[in-house]
Amino acid sequence: MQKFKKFILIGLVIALTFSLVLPQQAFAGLIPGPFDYFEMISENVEEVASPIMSRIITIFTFYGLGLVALHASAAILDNVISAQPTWLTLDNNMVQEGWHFTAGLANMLMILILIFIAIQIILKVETFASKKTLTKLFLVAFLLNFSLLFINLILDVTDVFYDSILNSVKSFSTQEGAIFANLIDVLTGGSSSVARNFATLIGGWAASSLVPGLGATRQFIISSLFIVSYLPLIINWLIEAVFFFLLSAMFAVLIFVFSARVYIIQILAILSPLAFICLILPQTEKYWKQWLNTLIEWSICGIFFLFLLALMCAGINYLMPPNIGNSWIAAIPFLSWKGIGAQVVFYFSAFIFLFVILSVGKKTIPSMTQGLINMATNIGKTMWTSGLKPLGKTTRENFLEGTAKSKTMEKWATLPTPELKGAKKLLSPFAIPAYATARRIGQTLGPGALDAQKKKIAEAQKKSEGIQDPNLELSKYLDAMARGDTTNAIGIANDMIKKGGPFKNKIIKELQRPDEKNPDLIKATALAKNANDLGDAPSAERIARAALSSKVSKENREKILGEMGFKLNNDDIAKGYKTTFEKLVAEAKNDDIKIFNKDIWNDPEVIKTVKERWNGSQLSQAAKEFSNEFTESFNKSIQEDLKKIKTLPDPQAEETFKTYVRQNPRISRYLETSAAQEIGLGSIYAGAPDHVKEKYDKKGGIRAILAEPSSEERMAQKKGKDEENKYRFDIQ
Amino acid sequence: MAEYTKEQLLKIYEKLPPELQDAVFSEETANNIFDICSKNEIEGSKMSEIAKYVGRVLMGLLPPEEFQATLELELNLDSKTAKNVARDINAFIFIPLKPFLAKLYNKVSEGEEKTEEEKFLGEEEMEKQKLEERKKEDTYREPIE
Repeated sequence: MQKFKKFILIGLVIALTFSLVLPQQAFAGLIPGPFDYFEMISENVEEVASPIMSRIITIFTFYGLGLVALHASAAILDNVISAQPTWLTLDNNMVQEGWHFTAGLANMLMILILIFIAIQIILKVETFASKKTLTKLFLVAFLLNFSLLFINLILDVTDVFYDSILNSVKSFSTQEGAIFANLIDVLTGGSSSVARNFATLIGGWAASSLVPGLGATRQFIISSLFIVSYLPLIINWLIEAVFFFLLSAMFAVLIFVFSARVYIIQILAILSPLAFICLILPQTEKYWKQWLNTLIEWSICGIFFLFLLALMCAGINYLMPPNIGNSWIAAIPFLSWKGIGAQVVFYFSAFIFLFVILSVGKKTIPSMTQGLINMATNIGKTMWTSGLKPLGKTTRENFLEGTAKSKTMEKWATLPTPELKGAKKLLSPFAIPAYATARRIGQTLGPGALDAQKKKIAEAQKKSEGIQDPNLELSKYLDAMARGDTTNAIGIANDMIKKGGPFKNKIIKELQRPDEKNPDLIKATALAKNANDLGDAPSAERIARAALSSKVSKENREKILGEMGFKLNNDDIAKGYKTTFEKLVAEAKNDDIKIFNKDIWNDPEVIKTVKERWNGSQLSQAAKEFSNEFTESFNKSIQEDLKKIKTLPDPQAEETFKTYVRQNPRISRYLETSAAQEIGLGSIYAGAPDHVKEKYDKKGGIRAILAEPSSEERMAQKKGKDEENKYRFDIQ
Repeated sequence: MAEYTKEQLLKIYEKLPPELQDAVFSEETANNIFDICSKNEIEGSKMSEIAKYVGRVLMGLLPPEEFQATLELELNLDSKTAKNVARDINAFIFIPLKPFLAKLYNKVSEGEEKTEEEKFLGEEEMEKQKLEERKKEDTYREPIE
């Protein structure tokens, strides 16, 4: 018994010790209390309702802002339109003072012109019809002092039309004095619809928050009745908000047009005496016409736009679908879906209606306003196209755009691996891959980050420009590669290739070294791939051109280029490119040619591409850069071709030679008359078979051959003639 | 007309100013010669010969004023055609390069007057020697302390 007690005591001590030392485990009972269930339900409901609610608030805010923008722009436009006749007056100080100044100037100029004409008549050195000009001069002398009256006359005529249209626009309005009250009522669904929207959201929200227990009920309603009750409302708000903003933008353009109209006409009035002076001389008459056209355009544009607005105010009522009944129905679950289709159709129809009006208006308005309307219609077009795009695609693009804009991704994409010193060096096996992964994530997720990468490559290249020692620059390149800092490495490699000479040789040697992991590939593979991944195709091409000399076998070359991320697209295949390398050689221009490794000219495939694809400019660039190394291989190849042609029987030799010349006419032409005949770029025709020379020499040699139709062209012509004759025969 | 090997010509080419180097290989020069030859209906095999002499002018081996005579003598072009070709080539190729050609031919004529010793030593070495001789002759020069 004693022993038993001892065991219990020891057991208790151990249990107590462990219960104090070890962490306590949470106890989850099988039968929780009744309130736990409510709490659990409340938490779950909140989890579902909370994100939905936050979206609803965002969209509603957007809707509210649209509504404010529409009302504000409509009110401003209303004021600008109504005040036009008052603003557009020529009696104000600015116009009067300005006009008196220019009129004085014009009168002085007129005297000078009069003296000029008089001298011409006296000296009998008339360069233009002086007498006719003299008549014009007297006419203008009279008119220019009445130029303000002339403009007032035009404005009075336009005012008559303007006022009558303005009155008709006002007659459509439901509110006295407010031109666009009716238009806005129709578009916003009227005050009842706005009240419903605010009541549904803000009112419901406030009420549910005030009454205890209703908050949870509200959340329950949101999460369970989201689709049947809130979704149609949200769709409605979204469409309306977009439309409100579009209309506000259109109103903003019109505010600008109407305001600018006042000042432009006033400035034209100030300049009118000088414009009249321009009427005198034939050389300056065009300026008068220009002035008159601008004046008429700006005077009429007000009437025209007002007329379009009148059309809009009158027409919008007829677009309203009759089945959009009581807007409060839309707040009732299930019934809210009623009429949503008609609502969508209405807004799209209204949008098209406004778009058509803007497009018609564009044809008849001053060029300055055309620019603004072009901008507005382009925004409209974009909205239209985006609206039709599949939802999934849009969402995906939005997601990508979002990540692209992310500053974090941009930062990650260019994150350098820090230099680890001392004890921290022990961390390098983990740090280098970690930083490389971060960079890769940044590069993949952020297209915006790609620009940052390209910028960094350019910066690294610029920074390396000052390095005078090729060994030092190479060591910097190797260091960047070891740290996995490819952007820096690409920049340094670019600079070394560009510098040429020992710099180029050193980097090429490094780039051509076999890759340790895959001996079939070379060191340049990863670097060019990185450049391609970063969207820096020029750098990738530069590296590939520099590294792929004849030392790399043909099969391996294509494999390497594939690994680097180069491939032929449909256009390339249509151009007849068989390999990526062929394209790389054929499309090398100016400075790209300097990049090639000199060994490349020993490759017959490369020389073949040069003969078939290059032009004189490319040839001259290669000859200048590589001198004998290029010209000898090139000439040797041409001489071999010509030698083969000469071994053929005469007629065949002639045809083959002509085909050879025509295969690349630009090169044949260039070589024939290149001033470098004696230093490597000589004539093809000089190596032609003798009988060909005899035949074509008097006709102009290569000139005549190039001008002649080829055998294929002759065949095609013959076929065409045969068809024509056959047709004639059929008619007969 | 003196004959040169390709290697000699390449050495001469390498010493040319960059503007003339560009002109020798330029596609524009070639196109101009082609058009001028076409306009003057030059025979096929003579086109590349004309281009060769243009190259020689650009390399400082044939003075531009002797170009027309060379065409007549070496290519048997009649006087009128040679004159027309020379005039057009002058207008389109030589005149735009006039400052460089003038400098090149002045240098060439100066070079012809150089003594054998000067040619052997080169310009820089000769300048140094002349400077030292002048120093020796200058008896009024104050001694440098």
